[in-house]
Amino acid sequence: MINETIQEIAKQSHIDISEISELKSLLTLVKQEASGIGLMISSERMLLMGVHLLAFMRRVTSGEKLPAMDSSLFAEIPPDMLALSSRILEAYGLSGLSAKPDDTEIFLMAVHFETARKLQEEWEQGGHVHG
Amino acid sequence: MVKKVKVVIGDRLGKGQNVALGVEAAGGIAIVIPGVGADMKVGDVMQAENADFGLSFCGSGGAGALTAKTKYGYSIEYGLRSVEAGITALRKGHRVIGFGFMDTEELGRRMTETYIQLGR
Repeated sequence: MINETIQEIAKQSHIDISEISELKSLLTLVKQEASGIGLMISSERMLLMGVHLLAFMRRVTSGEKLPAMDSSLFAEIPPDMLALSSRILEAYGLSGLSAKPDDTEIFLMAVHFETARKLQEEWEQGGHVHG
Repeated sequence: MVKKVKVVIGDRLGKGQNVALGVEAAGGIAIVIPGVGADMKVGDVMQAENADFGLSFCGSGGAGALTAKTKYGYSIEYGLRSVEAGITALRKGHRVIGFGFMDTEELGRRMTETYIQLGR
């Protein structure tokens, strides 16, 4: 699924070979981490996360900072989703390109995980069984 | 009576109120989706409201735009950083447009004015 995700992103915008390698590592980690907590990531969600992570990587490389956000919003996302987001983004930092990700970056990525979790919960409550 | 342009606004952090003021200043109807993760609901709300175009805001605006394309087939562009780029995207025929965080009155106003001009 990860290779297909990257191919889909590359259809829509230019992506460097070095970016492909980094993005592949991050998406592999997303899949592993999500799987570890029983969170299903659909191919559509993986594409959204891939686009998001590519934009994140580019912000890190260019030094662009997102505006600070209202800290009260953090209460809307469960701590485990924030922690998961933080682990993914810090993994990019571990490759030597980044300082510790700021809170806004962690929050924005965490919303992806929380949305996936909520959709999964709704799906399961609807009596569906994952294939 | 002339139908007013209807614009859906979704921001990952629940913002977009200034964009909405701009839409209304240009004579449009603004629908701001409330709450965190609102950007990902832009396509759903556009469908429900039969909106003319949608604006999605997050790091790149990609999630809202891509979700709208995947679910409903809207023509999209994202990763935009300026009002001018947004206007160009509208002129190209894109209907869900994704930006980095830009909650400005000018963006809503000029996008709506452009859409109205295109319809004349």
